[in-house]
Amino acid sequence: MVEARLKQAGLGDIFERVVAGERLGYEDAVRLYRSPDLNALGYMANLVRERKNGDRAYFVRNQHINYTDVCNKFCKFCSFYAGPRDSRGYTLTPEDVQARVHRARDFPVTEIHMVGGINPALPYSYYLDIVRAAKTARPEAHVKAFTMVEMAQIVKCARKPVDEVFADLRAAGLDSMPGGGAEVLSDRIHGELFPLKQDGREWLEMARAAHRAGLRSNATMLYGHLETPEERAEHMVRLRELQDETGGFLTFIPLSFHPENTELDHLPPTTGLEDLRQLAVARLMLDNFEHIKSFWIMITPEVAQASLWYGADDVDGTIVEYEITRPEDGSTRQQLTRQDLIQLIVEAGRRPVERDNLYNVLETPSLAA
Amino acid sequence: MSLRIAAEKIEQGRRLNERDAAALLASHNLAELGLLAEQARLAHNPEPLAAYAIGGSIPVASRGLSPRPSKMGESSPGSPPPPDNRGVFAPRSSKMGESAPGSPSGIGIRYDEIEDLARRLEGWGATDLALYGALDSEPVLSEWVALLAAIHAAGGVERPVWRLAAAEVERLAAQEELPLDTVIGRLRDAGLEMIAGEPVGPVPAVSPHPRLALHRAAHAAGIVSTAGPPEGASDAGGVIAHLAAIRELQESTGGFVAYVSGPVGRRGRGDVLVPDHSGGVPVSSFHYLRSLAAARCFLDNVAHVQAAWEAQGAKIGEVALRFGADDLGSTGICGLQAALPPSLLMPVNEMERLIRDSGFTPRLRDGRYKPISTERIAGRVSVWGSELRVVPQFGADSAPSES
Repeated sequence: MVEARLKQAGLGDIFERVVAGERLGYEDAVRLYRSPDLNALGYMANLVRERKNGDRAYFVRNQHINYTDVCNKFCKFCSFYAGPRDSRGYTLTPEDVQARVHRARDFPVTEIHMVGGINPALPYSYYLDIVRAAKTARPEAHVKAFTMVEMAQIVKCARKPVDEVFADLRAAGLDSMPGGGAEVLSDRIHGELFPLKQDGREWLEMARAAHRAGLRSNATMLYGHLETPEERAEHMVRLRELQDETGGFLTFIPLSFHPENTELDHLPPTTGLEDLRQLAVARLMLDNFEHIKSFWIMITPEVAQASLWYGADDVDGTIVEYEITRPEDGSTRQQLTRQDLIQLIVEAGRRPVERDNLYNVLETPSLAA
Repeated sequence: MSLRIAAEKIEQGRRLNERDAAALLASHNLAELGLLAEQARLAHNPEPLAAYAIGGSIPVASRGLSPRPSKMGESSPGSPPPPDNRGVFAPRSSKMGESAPGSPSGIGIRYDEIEDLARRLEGWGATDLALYGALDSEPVLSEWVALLAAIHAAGGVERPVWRLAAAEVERLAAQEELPLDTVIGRLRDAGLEMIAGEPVGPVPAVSPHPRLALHRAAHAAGIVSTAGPPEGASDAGGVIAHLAAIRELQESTGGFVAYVSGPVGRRGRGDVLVPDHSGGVPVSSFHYLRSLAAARCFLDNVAHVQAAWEAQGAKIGEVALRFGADDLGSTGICGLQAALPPSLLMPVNEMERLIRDSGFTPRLRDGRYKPISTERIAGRVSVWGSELRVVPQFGADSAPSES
């Protein structure tokens, strides 16, 4: 019956290739993005998910630090930034970073995630210092810092070859890099929404350089604004091609656009169906990415729970501080406890696995009695 | 348990038994459950449509200025209320109406003011309204009879369908010490058309029984009703028993117009069912979607299944349309002040956007789940709340948006 339903949905040919383990193409991605048959997409995505990760649902305990909200890129989809001349902007000193990491000492944090805006006043030494500060305060934690966008600024400040900059950062304690800043790898979207920031080709080039320097990174796509299904498909193909070349991407995370307090606040928020579709298509297209992550704070815990059967094998873990997308407006809780997360996973029939940044298993917890 | 047998039966249009339902409720493959539910949906709703209503629930208060004299051990003035089987109420996040004078709880439209409200709601385009008794100020039977007669007399051709909460009917029977069919008969004679079997208004403590006797009496009196979700039953056995009882009664009376899905089980603080998105333990979307799929597959003699967007949130509410629900429910209504138009919890345009995004064409309906001609409100400006919310032009102008 399932096969009959998939054929009715017009996806029978894609289903055959998924079962055979064959790679899907650009046109397949466009069809998948256009299909309203959520469960057809999810059923296929789940086949791939279980083929790669069984019934595991990974999570990591991390601490987020946004070291500055000052930014000179003025991206239209961002509600976080303060312009360089805005007195409300903040920048943490290395001592502030150290204090924040230290403040969470009593919490078991595996990963410190540090990102920020592009503050033109910050010297090269600052970036090295905050990495050192985090690492000094918590030597056992994995430091995941700086998107490719920030790296472009860091390289510019350093006035050194990019490989030397990566070497300096690694020596300071940088362990891996987050996937933000890719937005949509489309020249049209770049021109419309973030013309002052690096374009898709530059983002991919920086990721290539990071991977060659021995640093693994994540990848993202911001969806739900102006992008077309074709542009989404193009984004998937370009990420996959780079992954074929370097193998350096760890995880893909679709990021849902939140229009409030942005220049695009006339747009509606993403729907649950779209959130799940993004995860499913990513799982089907990115056959060379081991992991697809569901970012619960953006799509709600309820959708993140369902997503464990629509392609996601990773649910972002407890978050101690998070400032970029969701200010405290009461519409989403800022923090799930570890036990909440485990319960969410177990209820969905998945096996919770606490991991480190490289997906090594730390613990396979169960529900408390 | 394998879903193979259940899947074959669904594909062939054969009835599932309780063992099949148990297999569905034991499965974790959400997407597969969704596919089965979509197949089952086609048997009742082959067109790619999903309906919704404009309206919501309205608390009604007695005209009395002090708590009513005790008949059932309720509190007399000055004494603390005795424990009863209503348990703890967990108000929903929406505003549920204005203060009724003298009402201890401060919520409820006075029953003798409903007639005027009814005329205005009809003028604004409301299509489905559910009434319930305001906490600690519930009208007595004679007040309900007068209210229903007044609404019936005041309504025009395009009046919305007025439904009365099943819990309220039960309460009236207990309070008046009358048989259910007597109370239902009086309400019907006053103009009651329909009873809402799903939870209406503040979420009460769980019903100790599935209210089958009430629905049976209602159907016998010519009143149709909606069946509600299992209250308090979080295990498969409880859910199956609930669905089986509904299906069996439907087989003999045919009086259920729809099954209204809802949160499954008890979650949250203590034993209060709290659909909570702002703190505490979240209601499991997984359990909800799975039980919804099982309900659609099992209730082969109930025409419509409604999603629970208010309890589950708009995101999961929309996803529910891909789990067998053919109806997104009501917009919800709040701020029922006398002078100003009320507000919708979810604007009409947003209801329609969600439906289109899920791949269906939106269709406006009344409280009896009958489609309403778009000409009824096309071109009429509905003023909800402080912002002008124009009721969209339906039909050819309402092309599906690009996905």
